[in-house]
Amino acid sequence: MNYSLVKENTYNDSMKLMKLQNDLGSIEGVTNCGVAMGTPENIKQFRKAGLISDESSDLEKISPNDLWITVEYSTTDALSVIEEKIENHFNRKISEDKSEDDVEFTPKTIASAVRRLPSANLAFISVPGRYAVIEAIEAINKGLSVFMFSDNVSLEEEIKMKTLAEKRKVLVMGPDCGTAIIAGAPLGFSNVVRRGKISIIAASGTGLQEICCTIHKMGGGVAQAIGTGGRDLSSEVGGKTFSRALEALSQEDDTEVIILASKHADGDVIERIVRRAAKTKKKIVTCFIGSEKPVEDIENGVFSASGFEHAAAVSVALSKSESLPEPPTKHTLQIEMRHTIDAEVGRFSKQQKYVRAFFTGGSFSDQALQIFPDYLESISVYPHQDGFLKLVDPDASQGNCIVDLGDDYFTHGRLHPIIDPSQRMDRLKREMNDFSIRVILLDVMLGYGAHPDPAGLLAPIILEGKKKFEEKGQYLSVIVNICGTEKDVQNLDEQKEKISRTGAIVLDSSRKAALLACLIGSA
Amino acid sequence: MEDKILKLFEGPLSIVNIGVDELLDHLSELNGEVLNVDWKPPSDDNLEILKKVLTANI
Amino acid sequence: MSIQNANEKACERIINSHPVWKEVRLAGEVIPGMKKNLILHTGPSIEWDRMCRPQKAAITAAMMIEDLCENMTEAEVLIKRGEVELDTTQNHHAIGPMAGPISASMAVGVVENVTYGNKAFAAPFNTGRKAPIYTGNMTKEAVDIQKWIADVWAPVTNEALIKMGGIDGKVLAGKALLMGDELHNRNIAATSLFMNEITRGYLAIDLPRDTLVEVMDFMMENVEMLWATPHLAVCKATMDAAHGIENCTVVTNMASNGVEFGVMVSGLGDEYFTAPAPAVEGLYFPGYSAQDANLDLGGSRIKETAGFGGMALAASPSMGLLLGGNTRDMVKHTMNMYEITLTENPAYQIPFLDFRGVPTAIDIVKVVQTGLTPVIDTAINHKNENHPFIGVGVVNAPMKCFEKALRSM
Repeated sequence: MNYSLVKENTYNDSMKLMKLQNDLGSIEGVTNCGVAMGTPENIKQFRKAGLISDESSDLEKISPNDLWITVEYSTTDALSVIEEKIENHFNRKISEDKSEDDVEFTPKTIASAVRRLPSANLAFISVPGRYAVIEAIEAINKGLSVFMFSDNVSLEEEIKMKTLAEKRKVLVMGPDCGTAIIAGAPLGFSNVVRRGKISIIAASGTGLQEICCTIHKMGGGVAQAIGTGGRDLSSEVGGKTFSRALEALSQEDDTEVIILASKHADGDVIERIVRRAAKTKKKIVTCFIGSEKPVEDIENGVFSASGFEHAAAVSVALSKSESLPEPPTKHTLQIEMRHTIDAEVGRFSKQQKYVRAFFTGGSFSDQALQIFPDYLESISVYPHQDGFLKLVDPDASQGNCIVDLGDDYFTHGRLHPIIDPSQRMDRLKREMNDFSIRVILLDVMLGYGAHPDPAGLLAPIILEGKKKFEEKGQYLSVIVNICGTEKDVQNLDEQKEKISRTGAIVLDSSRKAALLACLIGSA
Repeated sequence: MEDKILKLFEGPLSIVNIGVDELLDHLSELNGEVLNVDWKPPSDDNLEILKKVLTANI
Repeated sequence: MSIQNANEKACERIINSHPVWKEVRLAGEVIPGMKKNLILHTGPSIEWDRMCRPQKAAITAAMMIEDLCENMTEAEVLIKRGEVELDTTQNHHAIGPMAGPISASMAVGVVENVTYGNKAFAAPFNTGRKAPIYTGNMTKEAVDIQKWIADVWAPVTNEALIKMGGIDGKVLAGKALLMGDELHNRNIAATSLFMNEITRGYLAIDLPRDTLVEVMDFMMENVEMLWATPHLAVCKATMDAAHGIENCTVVTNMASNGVEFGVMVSGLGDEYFTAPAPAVEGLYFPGYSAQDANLDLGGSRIKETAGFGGMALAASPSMGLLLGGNTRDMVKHTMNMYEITLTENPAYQIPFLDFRGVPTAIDIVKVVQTGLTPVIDTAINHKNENHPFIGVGVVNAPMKCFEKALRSM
């Protein structure tokens, strides 16, 4: 039986839609359901999911501004629960509104919001990508800096925003900026870390998170952590945000060390920025993943680091005026974890060959891309990178592979895997029927914005997978890199416990995890 | 002339939140200043012209 | 100049404007381009054949005032032959309520924007319960009243105004808002304030007692709406000062001729961006219903353009009684209007909102961006001639006008 409802001209953001969809899906007797805005792509998705029969008459009238709810259910009892859940969802909004007597109304634009909050200094923008530039320009014209969480924003629009921001002397963090810590306030996906003297400017969100967490772990602290969006250091954008942030940080009293972190950066742009960095009185640590030679100018206080962990270590040492740690090598890890490596390797059967990584954080994907080729062959990658094999079907792995589940292909119309682990869980369940795998490599992000108990959801799946392999006389090695601090809401120790109880190996460095996966996988 | 970015770094942050309200719930718990905007998208037919006009002088 | 700078300039102009009602004169003497055989009607421009009936009737009435014809059939002949010309009031810095009209022998209020020196004109004057030419009344009574206004009331009031140095339209409007007028459909406080001042003027010039009584009688009978017409010129004089700024996206005029609704934008020239006039949603007086109604009609949308009327309903909870909503609804309308305007005019304050200035400077970008269009509260006109207005309601300026305008940037 089917229950369908169209609410005209009702906009709900994607998280509210997901929540309602999840709530409806969990009702006993409900077999399938969909909640979405009536855009052509969503209608297509619904069709694919079998939620639309062609006789659906509602379809003709539905517009992209209408909210569409459709529920398939098998027991008559379910109907009243469905209706109640839907009613509560929409009525909650009304009761959350102020009482009859209070005639304060929520502003509908950034401009009117600023009239209500004249002290406003930052616009946090997470509207769907195609609308984002409109809001950003309004914010910038009002003298606000921008944190743009939205992705799917065009390059031209990014350039326009950042050009305008230069004129108005404000900062644009983004688009597709997942993380920042400004004035001690965590924005987007971010962790609770000690305040201190190290600032970071990074083009990758999860990389920024790992750097912050590692600094905290090593006893250092963070002054400002600025995300710039992944394209800032392209030749087209020219590092506008990087440069401006560097400029400001070089004058900020609290900052003593500045880490510059990125991948896929244009050589000329980096050169310009590093030249500028060399002129500041602050100490600079560069971490440009994928750049051929280390970017440094030691005489002028610019030090290069080989990865997020190393960058954190170097910056902590600099902030304490200690001697700089050596770049980590595979030998250190091999020695450190010799017993673990041997134990894992000894249990594989001859058929087992492959290493597969499923990341929620794009930076860890990049990290793995740097390390895997030294140990493994024929690596498929999604999204595709030059020099690697193409993953023909992103939903199905082949051979050795690295999959970034945070990529648009997977997140389109869905919540990001850091927020909602279910997509990765489904993928893992499928993978664990492939007995040619040796190692599965995963990341777990903790902190604000992340799922409240990712380890709790992951652990049973890891256990089940290991059991399946054992029954077949094989062994599934699982390595998990957990990124977080003991101050994060998820309780780091508990998360680590839950994972390690399954027999998976838990680490707190993406580089070490990738390396370990290769050492175990290629032995 | 006052540097807006330096002032931003100094804090406190005073944020206009437009898009997904929940993303900044944690800040409200930390007594941060967040004003949520009741945003609705403009009609898709008007997107192009809105963008053209707003980016015209940049 | 960037759009932002242009808009800032427009806002500055609006806020710094100082409209003062200086004179009452005959249209032919003061309106630029006025002629004996030129009749002005509420724009946007429209050919006679497509005009709504009330507007045709208003034009006919004006022609009767000029002794050019005796009925609509004759009027049509003259117009089609080109012996009588038609143009919009707006093309002559003038505005009329509802259909207008303005002809050379009619009395018009002359308001000068003292800050910038520009003038605006408004007519016909309101006639209370007596036959209103502006709703499309072409009876002898309607014609005679306008003649009386021009012959008797106008010269006397003109003399009084000159003696007083004019009446400050900005100050008066500000006071009236504080007293619960929104200054489109509710003008009773404003008119009372006006009468306080003008009486002093009448007493200061040496009027024969009969004339004084005649003139005061007329005004007392019209105490609810007399200020409506002068305020048209107050608003037009203000908005004209903000018109013609390159790259400016601020709306400087809105009007409806009963068939089409038009929006004029500061940076886009003197062209109206039009869409079909919407139907007004409202309450009808006894004996009338929606079937009798004409589509939205009126030059008085210049008032909303300047921040009054539908833009300022929170100042006028009493309007809720007329419009069929409660006080909270009135406030809600106004809060939405802040979303589509660029600034607030400190001279015109709304007590209930803690004396916030009225939403000022409608921005076509904001209208298209938010999907909210200006709210207008208006009288509802009968679709045929020789009726008073038949109800009161609200209408939204059509989104299409703003979309068209934006595409012309």
